[in-house]
Amino acid sequence: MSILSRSIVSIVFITQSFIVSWSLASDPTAASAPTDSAPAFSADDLDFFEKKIRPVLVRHCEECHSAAAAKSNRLKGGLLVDSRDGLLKGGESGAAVVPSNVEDSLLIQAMRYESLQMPPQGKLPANVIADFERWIARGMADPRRGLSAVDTKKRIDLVAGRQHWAYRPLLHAVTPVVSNSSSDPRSPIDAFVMNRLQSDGFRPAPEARPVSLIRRTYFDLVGLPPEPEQIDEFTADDRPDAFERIVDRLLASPQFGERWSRHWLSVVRFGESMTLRGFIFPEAWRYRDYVIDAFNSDLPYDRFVIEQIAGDLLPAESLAETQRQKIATTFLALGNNNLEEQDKQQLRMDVVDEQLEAICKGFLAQTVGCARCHDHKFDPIPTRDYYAMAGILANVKTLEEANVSTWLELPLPVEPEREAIFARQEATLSELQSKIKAVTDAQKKLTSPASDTTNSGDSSERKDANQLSDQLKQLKKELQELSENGPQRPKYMSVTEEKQIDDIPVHIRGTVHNLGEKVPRGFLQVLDFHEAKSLPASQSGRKEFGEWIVHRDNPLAARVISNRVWHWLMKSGLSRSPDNFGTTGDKPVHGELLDRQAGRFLEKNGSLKEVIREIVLSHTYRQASDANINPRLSDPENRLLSHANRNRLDAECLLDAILTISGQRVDQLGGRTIVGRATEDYGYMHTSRRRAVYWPVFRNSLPEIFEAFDFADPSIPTGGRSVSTVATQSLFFLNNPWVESYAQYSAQRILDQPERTDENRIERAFRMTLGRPPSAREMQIASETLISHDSREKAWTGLFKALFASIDFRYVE
Amino acid sequence: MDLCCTSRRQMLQAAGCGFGSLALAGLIGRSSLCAADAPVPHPPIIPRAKRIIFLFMQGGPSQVDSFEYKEALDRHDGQKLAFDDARTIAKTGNRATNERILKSPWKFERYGETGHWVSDLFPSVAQHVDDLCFIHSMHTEGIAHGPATLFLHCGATNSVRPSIGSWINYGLGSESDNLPGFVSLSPSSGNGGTRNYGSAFLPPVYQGTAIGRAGMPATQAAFRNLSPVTASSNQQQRQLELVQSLNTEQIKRYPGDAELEAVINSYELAWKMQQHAPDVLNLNRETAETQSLYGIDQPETDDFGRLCLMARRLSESGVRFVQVTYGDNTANPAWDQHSNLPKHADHARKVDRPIAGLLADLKRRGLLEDTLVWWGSEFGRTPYAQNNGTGRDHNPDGFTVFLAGGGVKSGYSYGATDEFGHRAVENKVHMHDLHATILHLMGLDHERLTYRFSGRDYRLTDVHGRIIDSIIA
Repeated sequence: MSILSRSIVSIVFITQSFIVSWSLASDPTAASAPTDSAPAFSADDLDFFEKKIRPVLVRHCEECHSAAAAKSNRLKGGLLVDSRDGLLKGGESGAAVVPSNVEDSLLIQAMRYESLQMPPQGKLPANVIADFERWIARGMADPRRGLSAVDTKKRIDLVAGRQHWAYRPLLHAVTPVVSNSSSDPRSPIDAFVMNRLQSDGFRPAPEARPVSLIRRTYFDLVGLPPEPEQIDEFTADDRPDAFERIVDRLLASPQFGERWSRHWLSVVRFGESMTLRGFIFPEAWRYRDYVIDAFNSDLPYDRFVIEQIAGDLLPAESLAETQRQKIATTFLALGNNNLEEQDKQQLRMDVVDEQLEAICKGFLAQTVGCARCHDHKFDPIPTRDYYAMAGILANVKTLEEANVSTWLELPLPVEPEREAIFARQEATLSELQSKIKAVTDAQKKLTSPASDTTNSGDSSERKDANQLSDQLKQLKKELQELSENGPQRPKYMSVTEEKQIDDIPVHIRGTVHNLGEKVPRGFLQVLDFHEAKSLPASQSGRKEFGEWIVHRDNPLAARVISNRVWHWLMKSGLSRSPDNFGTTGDKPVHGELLDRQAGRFLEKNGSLKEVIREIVLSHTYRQASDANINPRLSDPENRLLSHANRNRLDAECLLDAILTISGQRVDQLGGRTIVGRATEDYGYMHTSRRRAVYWPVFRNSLPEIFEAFDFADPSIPTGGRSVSTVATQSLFFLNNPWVESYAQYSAQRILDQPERTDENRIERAFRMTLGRPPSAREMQIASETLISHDSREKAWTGLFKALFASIDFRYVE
Repeated sequence: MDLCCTSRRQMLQAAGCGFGSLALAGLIGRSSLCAADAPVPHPPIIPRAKRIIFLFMQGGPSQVDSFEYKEALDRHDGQKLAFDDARTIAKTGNRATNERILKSPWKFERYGETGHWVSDLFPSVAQHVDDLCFIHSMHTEGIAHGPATLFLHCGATNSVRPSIGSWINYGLGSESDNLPGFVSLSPSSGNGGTRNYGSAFLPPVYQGTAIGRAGMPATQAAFRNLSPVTASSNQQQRQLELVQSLNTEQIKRYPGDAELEAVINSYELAWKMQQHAPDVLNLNRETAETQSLYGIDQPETDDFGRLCLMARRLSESGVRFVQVTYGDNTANPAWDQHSNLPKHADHARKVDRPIAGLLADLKRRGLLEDTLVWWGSEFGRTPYAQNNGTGRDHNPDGFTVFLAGGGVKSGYSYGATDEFGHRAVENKVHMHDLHATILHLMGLDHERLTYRFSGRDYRLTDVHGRIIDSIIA
């Protein structure tokens, strides 16, 4: 039907335009109108067009540049060549033909394969190009009147766009009153959930068994399994606030930040090397530590966001604050860019694009990348907005240009005493360098042709030469010694502001060599909570960008982070697309609850810990994961939250759990963790016994356990990971040497407790790994395994390997 | 109902088939009617090839010294002429710079009934020209290795995108129960490294499985974690039984839970892989004659010969996309002769006989019918000397690849560069076009093989790509 109505419209349009042009033609006063400025053409010229030009246009151009192409969605560059006006009007790159001006006609430039190259399949023969030149030179005779009836540009309707759920102001819904529910609501969260469940005829699941709840909470808050003693302590504690106490203890432990930082590090595509040439980022760890610290110290989220985007531009009250804020901006420098790109303008815009993706996806769940080449097809994001935001980042220097460009490592401000030491060291170094230069100059003078002719063969000359070279050797040695072993000024990875601040133009179809009109720097127009202000002429506008994102009236940022926290705790966000809140994203079933959470988040001044605590203490979080059969059938994705979602341990949790169970985990907070002096990541041997967060995220050589268990691609901002179940994971548990050796440590650990019987040991092994005692049948299986082996150590190693491989270890209820 | 966008659950309900088969299919990216993540081609394209072997010559072998004879280079050798050099344009914007023509140091002769010109670098491949389909008018994006290598594999110079093997694996899955659908033999860590066989935003199940790595002897190439650390096969069997007995006990609490059943199945599959996969890479199963065909009896060709033979065995066992890399791990890879062009001969000697052996072997086994062989690189080289020296610089504007088997014309040449072999001018084929054509030959529509990520549908060919109908048999 829509096709029919469209063709009717087009017929009407053609008719009208025909009439219009006809009437204009008959009206001499309108002769200068742009659509009909063509003079009357001679029969010869029209004949030339029919014979030499029209067939070429039809054969080589119209497939992509005609009304028919537009209809089948193949129109390229917005250019229509199926009418004279189409050529005059041109496409996104401007007019295709300037009548009588061959050299300024883009069409000719493209046919000559100069700036553009058309047709793409191959350059047309020289005589054809000559025909076109002649045709244009003689005034572009063409009988094809009127513009074909194609709307080559659809306008984005921002007013309509603002009606999308994610862009609307937060809704402050009244907390529903729930009665007759099987479980009592513990918090307003439960009221929203239970109210909806009730209206759909479901009941919430009962609270999970204490052994399940404690294991779940440990993994969720600190990413580690509880020790058997910790489980006992909890199950034995009958105080009403026993669970609350555990939650508070875990939130206060430094291990909370070690767990939660990994969530964030995936969102910001944290990596410590580049795939290209495997270059290692030696200073990226500082940012990782910054994130751990931000979670542990519960840095308000708005600060957290602004610091990452513009920490270097913020005032600071102390040196520690200056350092922290500067390190936060490493965020902007982590992109996995292609430093080899030879077209440096292109590279620059690729870097900007990458940063913009990280910012917009990470903080706003918006996919703005589409608008780099054309208005966003689904979301109300015009190309103009893209270049308004890109303009901010284009005024930031991220790379030092070179054949292979380099990222920036800047000196980290330090205490005055340390600064004095570095300054002294640098003075000594530069002194040495000038001495070296003096000696080299003297050497050059000695060997230069001028001195050669006058003093050739002089023995004192030779003596001098030897002396100089000895001196040089000595100086170079000193220099090397000092620069390698002397005090090293700490550096951090970051960006700097450009000296010259300017807005940038729209890049037509995303290409750096085809520029349109300049766009004032700014933000997304669809979010109009805030009166548009022009950005400072002296700074890039990053600070204002950050402030705009976390503005209290910006509903999007608060919704996005609230949904992320929900996703990290409940394994599924209220919106299932944590990185896409655009129109193609998932609209939350519990929209009121998401808004309530976002409002709560703002109320708590961006305290993540407060929000996490509230969720974990709710009945909704504490529910058992084994649902009763009804909701499972009619709500298979558990959108109504009638039970807890089962959680498959991610790569980091698996690694940390195995390190913990084996007794090998080394606890040490932060610091540089890359071993050795390699500058490339190829074949790096991961041998750490520290927690997963400290294992270098090398983009060419991830730890094997990360690769096998769906670790997020560290080059792409990722809020929700894939969960795959593949044979390679099973092979990892069956045959991997690392698993084998940590199973062996675990076996030794349990065998080192001589007072226990085997039955005690089996029970403990199950409690260490699965957080619960074995069933009777499991006890029997384990006992039989121990008996059937000759070597006790091997038997126990095999048993631990099997426990690591088992469902109840890999999944948390 | 839109099949592509259906959740696995909806699909299950609609199709009424149990999860077991679905999970199993998903385990190694194998296709089945129920594999809901895989798009359904509509309308179906009849596949001309079932599998691909991509022989990746890393670094950019020179087209004018191998398969594209340009008599003008002999005539103008040493003369300075104006060329639009890609690197110079990218760096300075300058066109028509003066460059010194460098003729090929190798002799060209005509071979086969088609009389295709081949240089002395490839005497054995030359014997097969009547089976090959040359494209002489390739052009691509990226002037340095990093961007161009990523473009070759993933269709993008910078953005993180799935590689062609992952797309095909996603579209078609593996033909085998015991093997992954996409294997990359001896991949290089350089110039994009893992991204060149990565799945990016496609589920990780579709990523390439690396066997060996560039710089490592082919004799050491093996699947990871397939052979246990110490245990005998009897002990392994017992270990598997122990794992499965615990799992069987633990799953009792969740009757009919599909996700957990899939875990149990994955152990069974792992066991099967462990039994069968090493055998696929065991070249001792081949006769001495076959091994010799691939050059395994000669030190120079032994390494690449082994990789080519492994590729055939993997292909034959159902792996959809096998890539064999001839390269190394450095930033200036194997074929990258910026200076000292004669070094091309070292590389050619190592690959010529193995490639010819692979072609002959596939043909005599009848496998060439539905196996597409693709030989090529990230770009070609300039017909003039770089910096007036002894080598050639990168050339993304005109180069040669060849295809064989799997539905392409044999003894055929398509497209041409200018008289010096510099820029593609006739029937130009962009890398996107080649990708579109390869997908088409595999029965996949490059415009419909999409994956929704971050709010839009992504394709290997982005918004580009045209199928080169003329080369299809």
